[in-house]
Amino acid sequence: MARRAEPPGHAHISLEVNGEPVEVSFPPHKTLLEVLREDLGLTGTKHGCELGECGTCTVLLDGQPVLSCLVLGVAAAGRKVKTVEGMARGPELHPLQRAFADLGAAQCGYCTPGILLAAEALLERNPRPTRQDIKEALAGNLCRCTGYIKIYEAVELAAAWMRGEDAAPPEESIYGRR
Amino acid sequence: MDSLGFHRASSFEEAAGLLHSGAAVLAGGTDLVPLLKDGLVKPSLLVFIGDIPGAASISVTRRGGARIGAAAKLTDIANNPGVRRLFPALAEACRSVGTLQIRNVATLGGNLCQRPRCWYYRSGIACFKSGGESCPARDGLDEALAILGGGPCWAVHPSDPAVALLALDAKITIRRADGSVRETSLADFYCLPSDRLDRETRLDAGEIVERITVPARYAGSPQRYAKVTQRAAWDFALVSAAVVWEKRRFRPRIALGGVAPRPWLLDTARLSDPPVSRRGRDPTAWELWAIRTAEQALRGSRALSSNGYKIELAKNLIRRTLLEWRRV
Amino acid sequence: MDGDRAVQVSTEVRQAVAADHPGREKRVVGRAHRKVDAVAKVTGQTRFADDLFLPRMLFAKLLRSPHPHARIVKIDTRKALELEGVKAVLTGEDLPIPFGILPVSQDEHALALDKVRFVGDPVAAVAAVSEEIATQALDLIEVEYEPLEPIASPEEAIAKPEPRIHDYGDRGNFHKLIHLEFGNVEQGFAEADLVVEDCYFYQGSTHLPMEQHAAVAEWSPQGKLTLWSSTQTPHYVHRALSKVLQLPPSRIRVIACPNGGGFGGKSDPFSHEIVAAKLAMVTGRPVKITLTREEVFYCHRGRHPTLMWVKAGVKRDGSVTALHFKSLLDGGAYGSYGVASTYYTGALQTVTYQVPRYKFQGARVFTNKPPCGPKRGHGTPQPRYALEIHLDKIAERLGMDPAELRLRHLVPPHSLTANYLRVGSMGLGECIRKVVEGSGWREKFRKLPYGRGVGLACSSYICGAGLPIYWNNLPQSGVQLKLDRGGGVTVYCGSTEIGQGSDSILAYVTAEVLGIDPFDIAVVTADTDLTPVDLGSYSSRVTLMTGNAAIQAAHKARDLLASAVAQKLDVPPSRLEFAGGRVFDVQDPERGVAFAEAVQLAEAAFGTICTVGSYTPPPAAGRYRGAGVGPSPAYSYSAAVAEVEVDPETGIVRVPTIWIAHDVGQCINPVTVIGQIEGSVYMGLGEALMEEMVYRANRNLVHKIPSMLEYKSPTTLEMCDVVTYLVEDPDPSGPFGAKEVGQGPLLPVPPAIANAVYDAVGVRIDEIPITPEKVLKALKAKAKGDAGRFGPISFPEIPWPDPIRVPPPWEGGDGTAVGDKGRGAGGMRERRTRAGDYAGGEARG
Repeated sequence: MARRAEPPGHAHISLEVNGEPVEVSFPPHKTLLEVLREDLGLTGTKHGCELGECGTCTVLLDGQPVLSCLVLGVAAAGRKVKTVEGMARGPELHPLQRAFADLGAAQCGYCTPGILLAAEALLERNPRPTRQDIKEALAGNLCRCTGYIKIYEAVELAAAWMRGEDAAPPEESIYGRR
Repeated sequence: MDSLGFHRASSFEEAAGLLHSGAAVLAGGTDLVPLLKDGLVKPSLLVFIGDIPGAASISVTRRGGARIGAAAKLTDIANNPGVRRLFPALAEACRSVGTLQIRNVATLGGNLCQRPRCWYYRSGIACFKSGGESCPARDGLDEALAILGGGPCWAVHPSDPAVALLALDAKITIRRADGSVRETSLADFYCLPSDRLDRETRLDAGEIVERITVPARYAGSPQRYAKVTQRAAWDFALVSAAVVWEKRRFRPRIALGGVAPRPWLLDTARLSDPPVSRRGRDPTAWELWAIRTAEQALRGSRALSSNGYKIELAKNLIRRTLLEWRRV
Repeated sequence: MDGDRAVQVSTEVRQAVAADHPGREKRVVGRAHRKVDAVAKVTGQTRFADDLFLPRMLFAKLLRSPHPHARIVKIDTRKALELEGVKAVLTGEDLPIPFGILPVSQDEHALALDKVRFVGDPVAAVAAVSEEIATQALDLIEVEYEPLEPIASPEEAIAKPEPRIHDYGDRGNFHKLIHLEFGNVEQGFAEADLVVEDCYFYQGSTHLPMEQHAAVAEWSPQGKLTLWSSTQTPHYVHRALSKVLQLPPSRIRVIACPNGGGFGGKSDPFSHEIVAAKLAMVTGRPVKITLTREEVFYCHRGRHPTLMWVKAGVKRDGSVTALHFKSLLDGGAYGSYGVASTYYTGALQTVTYQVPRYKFQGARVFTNKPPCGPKRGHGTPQPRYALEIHLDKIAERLGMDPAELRLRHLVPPHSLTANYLRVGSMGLGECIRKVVEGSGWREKFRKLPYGRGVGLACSSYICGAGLPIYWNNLPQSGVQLKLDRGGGVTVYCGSTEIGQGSDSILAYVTAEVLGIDPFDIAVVTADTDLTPVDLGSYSSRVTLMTGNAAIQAAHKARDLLASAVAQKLDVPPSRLEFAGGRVFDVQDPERGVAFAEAVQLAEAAFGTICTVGSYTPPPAAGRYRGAGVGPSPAYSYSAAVAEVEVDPETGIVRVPTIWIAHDVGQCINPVTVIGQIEGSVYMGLGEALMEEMVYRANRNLVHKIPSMLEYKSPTTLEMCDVVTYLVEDPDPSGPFGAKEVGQGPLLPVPPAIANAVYDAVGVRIDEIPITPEKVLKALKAKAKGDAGRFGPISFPEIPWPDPIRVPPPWEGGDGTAVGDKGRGAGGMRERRTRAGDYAGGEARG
């Protein structure tokens, strides 16, 4: 790692954030969450407890969902981080974002970034998840608004779109059971 | 905390050499980071072992057993085909920890060395673990506390993998500050508060866990890890049990979690032999034996004011787990 | 944006609009849409309070009391002030004026003045250049306390009038005592064929919004304060800041950021908001404060732990002859909404099934724990739990099907209850039929194998409180519309988006009236400088009240446009239709103008097109003291069937499925309606099975386990399947007939689960949460031949005041109490309270 003038006691690391190389310097006790929000201005990553007990701050580290509040920034050196800001492709929403918007899977929207990333990692390794697969993949993300159900439906819809299917949500999830 | 230093170790020798007082080992950080934030540990140096070559390796063979580096991630252990096939109790124990996000970061070495989850300790209330002179939990909210081996601290050991590894008679390889290596059984690795109050292990200053070895003796033997929690994710065990059958002698090694200040290995000598005859198993006799074994296992357990349910829970769990082999 | 793929839903809207047929059927309302803020939320662009970073911003931290009850002898802040990086330190003396959400409970100080009342009560505040330095500075503040005996429980509060936690209230440590009687219940019990009496306990729980409370304050040397906060009630925060900081409201701007979940927990003005504002004023720099999760547990204002006693008399056919209900609420350390909460534990028992005579006694006590307040359902889930289990017991004793019993005795629509609540549309019967049919109730009830069971429960909730929290005769909600000559419309409203979709409601109803696409509407909300007052996102008032205000404003705009277009097309305005982004002649749809042109014509004719609308609820029918809590423009109804699996060996209860039907009057957007129902079921499930506020009581330390790990809330692996039925029975009071959905559907869930547990294993768990331990204890008791029940067995003696007697309508009553002819509508005091006089007035909310 290149050494350069930096404040005493600061760590200086290079990493890749949302596909772009980034260099950042910060005190070594800072968590990845704090580095993302405070030093890189990426406030899309939220926090609910900062103790690893809620899942809100989930980001992808080398493609795997992790709690950014439990990972020290220094441990992310040389690795790839993806946050919600990196999900859309240019002006086009990621299919998961589209499905979450369409189905009301984001109510207050605070747990949403973390859940989207956990879901993206799931669909990356399992393009055709069952409802149970989705539940297990998202068991580490608390949501207090939705009861998770619209989230499952949105992940299922996005998965279908990503498989190239021309899917629409079931009528029941929009209008209730008749 | 601005004076906190950070060092990326390139070998365990180097790491151990840096573990002077005031230094802490950082692997996944899932336990250390909350401890840092709550001010329960105040190291001056973090020695990061996550980048040590081979520190996260997992190798499993039927002949050689399993060798798992201290920095192997729980997800990788739980998903390792060899571990799943030959040591399913360990795979299941790793899979039952926390949540996916935590398992993706948490390491085996860190999990084995994690500090107690007692509410009082974690809230920063003075107690034996934090250098105080009493146990506020003992006459406070004690439903999560130990029913075996407690006193003067009653906090239970929170690890799941340790319970499975104990039943699997795992060995632990420790690197010392002078660069030498020692090996100890997991059973000897942990201690009770009556032995030592400040820590839960017999790791000395300047020592670091480098590797965990599971003997081939139990590779592929019938085994299970079962865990009872309040919530299906994100919870430490109220009670957990690992049962591992010895292939030749057909006797189970049973370890319990959530019940004692250390992962708790039952003394096999105190347990009755299972009712196996040449004609196979009589389900009724097997069930009676399972009930008897559960009773024997909890002999000597002692309830505090509101953790007595754990005794019943543990008996039930042992019985139910043993019953799975009723008709094999 | 990504509008093209907005499900089939948007296509459907487009087709409907394109069809251009001139009928009055709705084109936006009742159909599924994205929420107006959906894309911002899924891309992480929504700015929550903690996402704001201002130049030169300082960070504030609060020092909180380690004692549950103590006098403050001395505070020394010198060392903290000397720490490099510390810019200001505040103590109680800097903010001596009390505040509180209710005029009758102005009992909080931003920082404790003379004593602390719970572990976590704020004592001092620091602003520093970083959070770390602020935290370090807290350790340097020396506070000398003189511990007082803590009051840990309602029983203790009743037994020990001293030490008094507050020097106001109804006596000793009673905060509020209520005694109301509507008709002679003793006579009713005498006429009954069966009288059933029992006690119930509903444990306290907390909101646990995922977003920790946060606020940012900025002081301009021009003399103006701006506060951004995660609050559900910016208007009340505005008032509290004005009062405590002694600034005219015109010099304060409060902006409620979108809330990362609220559920009632962000409805009070809070210490940290006032402190951040004061620190900004003192330092001249922006100040941010973000509470830790532990501190969020201290803010609390959650569900009151409530002990209840119910006595019901019924005829053989299940008709109620009289109902007597007592509740005892553990209020915690401050008043908060508590007076209203206490009334609410007795208010809505009468709006579901006919109750001819009704008596309610409610008490709230102070204890040295974090204050309780309004959580989703505010004061009504507790009595609903008791009542719906009680009815299940009665049905069994009478040998009736519990669904049938309820269906037979429903309150008729458009009627007045014994306690003078005016019921409008009433779709509960349809709700019950839906869930009975859908769940296979008849094939399952008392017929499933041991260990499996089904239970039914119903409920009702208000659509906004009839009266505002502080006395005034002003509208509860205001909306302003600005029409741009390019065809865009901006809606301004003080309502606060907490995830329930209130911003979207404004766009949908405005789009419906003006015949345009909801996404052509910009929504500006919750900013006291820019938006007309709306009282806030509480009591399920927002859709009904802001919806009505928006409709009124939109109709005014529509009239202006119609008048201008009518002139151009030379047709009467009444022949004009607004649809598909056009204004056209219904008799010749080809003749018309684009909406933008219509705006231009109107602007040319009348000047800038801005219109306003406002909403004031109808006056309450009751005129007795206490009649202010319960009246609402409309009541929503829900029915639920829960199916459970109970493991008799471990006592573990699993809930595979809940069927729920909700009478929402009219869906504005069915997707968000279902979302609210599913979320309510989730929260009800958590309360039923696992969530509880627990306090440590050893060594006089009363202390919560303030973490999300120890406070168990359901994950995906605990959440049940939910089958939702939407029942639409439009209410004349609602916008397009809409009623609330944010809170009501929580209520039937806990009692439905409790009733299902009884069906499964034959034991009554009359205490929430239904933990394995309680189930096992009840099963053991039953096996020993005792009552198979877990729950409280007695209700303490309480020095009730003399009852306020109000004859019900069918006994010739007119809503006034016996011997009290001088009261005005709604039980308000005749004495008018001056605006800004916070001390007087009866509580409402």
